[in-house]
Amino acid sequence: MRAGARAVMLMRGRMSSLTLILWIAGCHLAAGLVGGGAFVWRGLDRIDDSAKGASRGVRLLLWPGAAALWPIVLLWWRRAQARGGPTPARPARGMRSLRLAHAIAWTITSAALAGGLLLALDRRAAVTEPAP
Amino acid sequence: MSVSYRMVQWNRHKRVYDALTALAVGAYIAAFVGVGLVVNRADGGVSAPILAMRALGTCALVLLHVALCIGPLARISPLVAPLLYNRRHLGVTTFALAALHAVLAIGFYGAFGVRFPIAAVVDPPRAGPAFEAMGFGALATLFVMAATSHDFWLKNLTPRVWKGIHLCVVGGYALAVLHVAFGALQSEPSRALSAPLLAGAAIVCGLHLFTGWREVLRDFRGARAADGWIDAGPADALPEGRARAVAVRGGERIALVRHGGEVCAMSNVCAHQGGPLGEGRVIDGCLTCPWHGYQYGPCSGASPPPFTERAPTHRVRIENGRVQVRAQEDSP
Ligand code: FES
Repeated sequence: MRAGARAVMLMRGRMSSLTLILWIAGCHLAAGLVGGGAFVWRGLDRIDDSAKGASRGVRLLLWPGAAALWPIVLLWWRRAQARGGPTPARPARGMRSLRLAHAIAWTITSAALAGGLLLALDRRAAVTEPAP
Repeated sequence: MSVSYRMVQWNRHKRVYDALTALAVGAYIAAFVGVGLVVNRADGGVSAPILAMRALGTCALVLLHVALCIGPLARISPLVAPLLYNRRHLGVTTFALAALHAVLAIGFYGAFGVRFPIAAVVDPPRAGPAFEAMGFGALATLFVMAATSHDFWLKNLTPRVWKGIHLCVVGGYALAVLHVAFGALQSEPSRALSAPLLAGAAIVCGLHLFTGWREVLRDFRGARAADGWIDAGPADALPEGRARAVAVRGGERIALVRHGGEVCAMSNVCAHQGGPLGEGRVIDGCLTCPWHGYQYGPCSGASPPPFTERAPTHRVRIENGRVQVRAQEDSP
């Protein structure tokens, strides 16, 4: 644990936060290509009845998503194995809270976007205006 | 609706939709590059790869605006609802165009391999907000949307979580607009770019704010249950073969539908993506969701075989010419 923390500190000293984020995302996707790949080619049929005997095309199509969400799909796979069958379908719910979340998300984003656009226009004016 | 997954469940509507999208995208890119080359010949400024990069980037941005406007416009007018049907293909096309734009941009500014490509994103050669990072963030969001767009994800993540993940497109959209504002806009003194960018942002945000808060207000003003029953208005106000959504204070909306003279009620939430069943109508004897056509028996709430979807039903009674709906769902 301590060695891991030191490694992160060392890496942080050498690279920007953005580079670090990119490295973490890259490692996550690389692990996902393997874990997600195993899921789409072996586990898919076990967790969802509609996926039984899915074509190669369907599996290829699902691979990028499985690579991005590999911890979740591996959990589904493990649970299906423990349960001995696919996850039962659940009715859709919670649209009311989702509508509220949607309205709030757009309100915050609109405010942030307006601020960002004003800032960008201000910077452009400073760059493009001729010096007095 | 499908029993087993396919790559794409093609039908005539989807083919026409995709063909028109491909045609529009091709025409836009050809016109952008063509006009750009002609203008450039006159003043000799921008090279062909930069023109292609800009054509792909602006096309992705325009398509993102279109995709984001369809949802709220469909809430304002049912005439727009058919465009919702295949919207995810618009999203995937937007990602593909944005990814091509990114590959060209990173390759071009990284001198096609002379400079490590990722360095162009993380280590921009100037001070100030890094528009490259904003573009990268927008692209990553579009990737997650596109990669999880198949019905498999919708079913297994559950429509609520899936919709929650896809709400990230709001942030991705803001990053895409700011990517242009802090990037291309900074070296463009005319209003040719700033005016459409500002207008687009105002339209998208305005539409979502208007329809979003209107829906929330409708939920808050929903009918209150008295003795477990909700008054849903006069019985003769509901025409044959039509549905209507009833907002319930503190609960999920309920869809009322009249079929064969009988008034029935079921959850307003479609099992597919949570579409509003109360805005659907009866087609082939089934209440049909206006978003992608999932069907339910008007009084049983069950999809016709071989499909297994089910919308929870509610008891209905008519008292003094008014429809009353039981707030509690029937047990399955
Ligand atoms: S939400 Fe897709 S069919 Fe209802």
